[in-house]
Amino acid sequence: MKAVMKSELHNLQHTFQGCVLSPDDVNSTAWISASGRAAPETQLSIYSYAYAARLKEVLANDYPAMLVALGDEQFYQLADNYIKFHPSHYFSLRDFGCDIPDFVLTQGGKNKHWLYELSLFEWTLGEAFDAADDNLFTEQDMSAISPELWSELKFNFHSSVHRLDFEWNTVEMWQALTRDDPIEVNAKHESTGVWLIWREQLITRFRSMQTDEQFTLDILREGGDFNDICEKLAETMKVEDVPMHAASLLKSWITQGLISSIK
Amino acid sequence: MDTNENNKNRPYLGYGLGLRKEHYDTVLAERPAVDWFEIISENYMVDGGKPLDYLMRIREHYPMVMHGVSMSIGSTEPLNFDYLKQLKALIQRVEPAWFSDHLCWTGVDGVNLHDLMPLPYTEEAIQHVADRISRVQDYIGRQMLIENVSSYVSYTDSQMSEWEFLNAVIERADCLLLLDINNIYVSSYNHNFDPYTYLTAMPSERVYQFHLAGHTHEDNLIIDTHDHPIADPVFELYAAAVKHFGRVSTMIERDDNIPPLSELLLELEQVRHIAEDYFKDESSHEIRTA
Ligand SMILES: [Fe+2]
Repeated sequence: MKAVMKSELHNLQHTFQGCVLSPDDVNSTAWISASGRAAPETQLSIYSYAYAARLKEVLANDYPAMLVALGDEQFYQLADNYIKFHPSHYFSLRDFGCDIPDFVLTQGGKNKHWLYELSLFEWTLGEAFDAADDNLFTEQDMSAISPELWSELKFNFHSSVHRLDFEWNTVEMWQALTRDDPIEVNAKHESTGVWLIWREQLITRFRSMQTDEQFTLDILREGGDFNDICEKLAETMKVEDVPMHAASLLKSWITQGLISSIK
Repeated sequence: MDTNENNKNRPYLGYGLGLRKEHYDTVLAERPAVDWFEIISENYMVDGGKPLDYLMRIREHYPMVMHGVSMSIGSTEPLNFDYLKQLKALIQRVEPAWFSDHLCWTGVDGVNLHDLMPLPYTEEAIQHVADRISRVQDYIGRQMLIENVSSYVSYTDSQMSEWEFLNAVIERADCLLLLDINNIYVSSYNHNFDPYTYLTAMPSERVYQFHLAGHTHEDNLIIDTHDHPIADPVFELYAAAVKHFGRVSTMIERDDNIPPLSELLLELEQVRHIAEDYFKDESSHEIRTA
């Protein structure tokens, strides 16, 4: 690539953007014409105010439970800091808030661990909401496959499927905080809970998973086949019960719209 | 699509509204008498789910145009072909009557301000932006509409008026014009120019669409907030635009403080009356003098 001298236009855009990003560090407004009705500083302030206001609104929409949990003052303080350290590098505002969960962890404070989980849960719900409309693998598709071929079947999962492991009563808090009349639920440290988030047709859903479902789902998502999950299940249950149990898990995933196709 | 008597080549959609998620269900259930909808392209540049599902179901019943906010056509940053690729895919899906974006930049140095930042009115900027519009039109494979923005800052660098700048850009890029009547009014107030001079300087054959919207009047600045009904001086300027350009597809943008759809439909009736009353007078006048 040939070296390009920065143009006048680039310099102007760079200067203007600097003023919008750091309104407290503006050292000259000589580039703004004084011919307007309002003073140059006032003209400039419209852009810097709108910039912060717009991004704060986006974060409030993406993280409604965290907003209620923290209250306006603390939430918008966090949002201000995030906006300062994570300017948007995306063309879509939808992606702007993606680093909030990690940012919460860096912010310290005694609540950071459950706030991290709460924000991760909210972000993941958003990811499932507009994930791709993959085809769904149906019970009918499954019944068309002869049982002797089952053992080597591998599956593709719907793009909306996510697993989250929580150490707090995060989902209970989220449900209480996002009611029409939000209520406070104390954060409680719990033994690890594993949650499944996905979208069934157009409806975003979540539910907790039992241990056997967790590891079998993991095996399939990591590319294992039906035989692999049966072997793993056999470690924890009677061998003669395994095929029925594995088949019923698979059937539930299919009917809930978690599986998009077989490999 | 009808064509216009004044400008035989200009497609005409009638009177439209911006499609907003608050109104999805009402639109599908009631099929209101809106001639067409404008969508914000970025809201549907997602992989799947509800937004796209609603969009395509509503598209079955209404003509649509696509309006983008993120092309950053005036930036000195390289064109974002990842964005343009997704835009092109959405255009193929929606089959809009046309697509548009703003004569502005939205960021440099890898940052997006998510705002419509004005350009300085210089020869350098004309060349830069016209060249980029041409490249986008080549890539998408059709002409695009460019919209004038509201601005609060004007630059000491500027060498000409906004309307001279806009004219030069669309002429050189060979693109079309989405004329935002409210933005002309807002900027004319903020920068002390005559909105009618601006309006009548626009090349009629390239004007394919009008935007109307509400604004917020502060001490000595008007801000383009799209959160109020259309203000009277903007209605007056619109009436002048109708006289000057003839039938141009017109819609109301409402982005904040969004009322029930029925309220916007009443406002759209007001808009329709202003134009149709004028055209009625025109045609009866023609009959009398024929
Ligand atoms: Fe507009």
